[in-house]
Amino acid sequence: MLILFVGLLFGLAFKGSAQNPPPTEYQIKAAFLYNFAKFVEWPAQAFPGPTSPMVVGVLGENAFGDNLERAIRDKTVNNHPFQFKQFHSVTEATNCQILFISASEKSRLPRILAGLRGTSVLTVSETDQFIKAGGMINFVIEDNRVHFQINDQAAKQAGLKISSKLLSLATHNH
Amino acid sequence: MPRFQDISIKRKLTAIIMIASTVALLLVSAGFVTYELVTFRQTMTRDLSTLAEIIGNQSTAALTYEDQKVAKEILAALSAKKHIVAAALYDKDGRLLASYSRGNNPAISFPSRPERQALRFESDALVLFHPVWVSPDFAGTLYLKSDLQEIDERFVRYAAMILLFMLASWVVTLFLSSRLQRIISRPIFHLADTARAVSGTKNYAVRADKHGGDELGQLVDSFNEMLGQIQRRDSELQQAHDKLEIRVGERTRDLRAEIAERQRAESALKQQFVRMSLLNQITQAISDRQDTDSILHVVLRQVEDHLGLDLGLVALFDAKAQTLNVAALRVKNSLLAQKFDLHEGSVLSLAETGLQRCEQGQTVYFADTLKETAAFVEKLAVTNWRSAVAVPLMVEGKLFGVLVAARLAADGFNSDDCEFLRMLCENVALAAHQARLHTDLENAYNELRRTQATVLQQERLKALGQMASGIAHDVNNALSPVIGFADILMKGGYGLSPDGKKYLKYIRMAGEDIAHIVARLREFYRAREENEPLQHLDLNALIEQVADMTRPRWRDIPQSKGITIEVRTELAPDVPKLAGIESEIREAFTNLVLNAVDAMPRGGRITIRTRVVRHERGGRHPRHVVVDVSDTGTGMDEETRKRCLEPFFSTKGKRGTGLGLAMVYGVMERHEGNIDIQSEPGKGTTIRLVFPVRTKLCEDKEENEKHAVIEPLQILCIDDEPLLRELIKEILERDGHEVEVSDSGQSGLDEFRIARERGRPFDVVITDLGMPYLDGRQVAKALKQESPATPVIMLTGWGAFMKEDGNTPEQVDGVISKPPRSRELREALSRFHPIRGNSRTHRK
Repeated sequence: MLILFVGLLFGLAFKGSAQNPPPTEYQIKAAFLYNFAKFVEWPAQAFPGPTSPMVVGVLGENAFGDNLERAIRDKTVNNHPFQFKQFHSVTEATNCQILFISASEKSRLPRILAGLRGTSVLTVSETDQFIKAGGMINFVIEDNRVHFQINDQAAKQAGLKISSKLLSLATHNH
Repeated sequence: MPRFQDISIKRKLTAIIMIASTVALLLVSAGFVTYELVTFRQTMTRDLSTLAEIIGNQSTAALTYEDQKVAKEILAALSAKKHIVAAALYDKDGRLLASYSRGNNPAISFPSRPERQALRFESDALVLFHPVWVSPDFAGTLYLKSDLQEIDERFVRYAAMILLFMLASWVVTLFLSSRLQRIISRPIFHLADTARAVSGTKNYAVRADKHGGDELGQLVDSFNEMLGQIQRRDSELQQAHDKLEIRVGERTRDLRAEIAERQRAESALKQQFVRMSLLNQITQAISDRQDTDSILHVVLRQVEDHLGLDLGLVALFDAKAQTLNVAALRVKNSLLAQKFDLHEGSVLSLAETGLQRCEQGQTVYFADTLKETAAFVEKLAVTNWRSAVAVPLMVEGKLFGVLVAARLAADGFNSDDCEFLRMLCENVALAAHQARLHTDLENAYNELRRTQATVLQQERLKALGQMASGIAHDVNNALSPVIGFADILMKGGYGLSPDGKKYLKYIRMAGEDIAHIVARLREFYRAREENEPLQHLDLNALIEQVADMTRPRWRDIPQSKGITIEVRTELAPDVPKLAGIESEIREAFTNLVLNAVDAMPRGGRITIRTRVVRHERGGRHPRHVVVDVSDTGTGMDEETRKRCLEPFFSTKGKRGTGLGLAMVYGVMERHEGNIDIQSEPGKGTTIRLVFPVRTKLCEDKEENEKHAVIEPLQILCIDDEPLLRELIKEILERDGHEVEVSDSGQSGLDEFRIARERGRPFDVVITDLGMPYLDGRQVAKALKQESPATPVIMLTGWGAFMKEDGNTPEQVDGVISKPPRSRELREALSRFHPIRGNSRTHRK
């Protein structure tokens, strides 16, 4: 029953992933984003209330299409229901918990990161130099697989605790 | 190997303790080990679950992100756990993500798909599937497989430990039990030794020692007590035994005596039985016999055989003469038999036998015949029979006979013998008496049968005679007018020519011949008519006469054919003269001689014998004269002999009339004599005529009749046959009587009455007997009622019978046979009317 239920959940998350052609890159990346919420601990003040939504936002061009929205729809973590938001400016994005910074914002990256300083937003991107620039998690493609890098220092500065288990999966630890 | 029951108590006790302690120890150990193993298995599963929890938790990220490398690293850490044989991680879709096997064993296979949460023991392993959750999602499954080596090791350790403890406890227990069992076994051994000693030496004075107050102590006490009792009993037993010996000795002597007594009784009984069966045998033997003689002989033979008698004798008692008649005699020794002067048929007077007491039914025993004085007993003594028993045969309390048994030895009979003879005699007497009754009965029966045969014969002859007379009656009726009218014609006055007279004479002769034949037919059963003349006859002379007269038939004719027949007469000289009819008797003898001649076609001898029979010996008056006519001819068989007297019975075919012997029979009947025929085929025939001696003679009436005076009478004649009527009228009218005729009984009566009314009654009425409507008897009865004095004469063909049978009706004064002859009619009239005739004469 549990297996069936679990299967159903993932069936919704990755539509036709078992039988259909392998998932696209962004489908995987959307799932990764969703799963990060499980291994990251936000400080209590990061949420207005105990059941406030876990807001996942995209800043810049939305490369996911609707994949991300689908991946998080109706999901909940620690009583926080997920919520998708499209941001156009960094100021809009300060109240979200996870922010995917699109590659289109590569040029404005330092400004964006600076704008987020003092907030407990987990920043995720897929651009080179993101970690160096002070981003927290950056997707990379290695061996035709999606991997990620983690900047634990930056996360700690933002009051986020990233689970060691997640850390052990990251390709580079800083 | 000895059975457990047979080994000594000492070992038994030790073995019992050892077995009990070992079993207890084993049970405790088994419980302990089982508990330990169960507990350990629980521990194992708990440990494995904990391990799975840890590993699962570690691998959540790796599973979430399906990082094979990290997963493999996590699993590789299990190499520290040496019991983990294999481990694997499956992603949320059930695909194998990473695996681990101890020492990289390639032989190990992993389930292709994970199971849902499970924990189970397999044959050699403990298997666990642990689902991993990353809240809120299912991340994957951890698979762990642990070997059971740890359990096995523990088990071996436990076994070794138990064995060690067991050995140690055995040693200790053996030592302790071998010490402790003595507490129980020693008193028992002591008791056993004591008992063995007692039974071996039979010394009941020995006592067992007591070691304590427990059950064994009580046992010893009881044993000692028992020994004491046995000791007492033993001495008592010995005393009883001694007494018993003495008593057995006495009893044995008694028994021997008793056995001897019983044997004597048994042999006596046996003898008794033999006697009884002998008695039975004899009784059966005699019960089959019907005559006294053979019964007596059978009895004597049986008694001699079985009792060993030297003399057996049965004499029958004649009460009237007071004599004993020897009926059966049996002597064993033939020499003695010659010497003994009695034989069957000897007669002894009761007095000279010395057996008078037998008459009262007493048995008489002569223990020694030499000491007796009676003549009969002396005879026994002379013949060397020294002892004798006489047993009476009694029937209905009366002496019937005496059975005498004798033996050579003096005092040779015991009471058994006497008793047996007595019992036997009761049966013999009964049987002999029975036999005598039987013989009497048989004689009586035979006599009766003979009588019956004679009566039957007579009846038959009588019937035949009646028949013959009936025929004769009719013939006579028819013949009467023929002869009567011929008579009348012959007496003349009718102007007959000489030739006519001659022919008339022939007619009359022929008629007479017919009458004669009819008479002969009737003769054999015709009573002698009263008016027949009886003469004094000399039978001897008559026989000589017949022999002479028949000579041509028995000598001349046969001689011509070469056959010789001899006639011999043996005549008694003193034959008295008999009253009889000479012609008849002569004819009878002639018939017998001629029959004898006919019976001897090849010749032979005829003997005619006369003798006189006087009833009492020396009696003066002869009663009967017997004439035997014997021949040596062919004889007759029984059937012929029985029927030869019947009329018309003949064996001679056409030559015989069948009337010869019938006539003889008739003659003998008329002479009140008897005829007896003895004959056998091939042996000849003897015909015996027995004449009673009669002396009375009939008076010759003929002379008187000639002088009878008959006056003319008024006579009424009633007859339904006109010819007879006319004949009688003619005859009577010739004698001067006045005759009226009437053709029936009724018209006769009418005539009679008319005549009386006129004052001229009839003097005599002659009436026929057989008439239609009113017959002769009724007519006579009516007449006598009206005029009792008028004589009535009956005219009938049955006349002879009416006289013979005494059957003459009361109302009839005389009977005349048909055909009526003038002489008879005259006689009858003169018989009824001489008085009147005479009186008239006197009156004149």
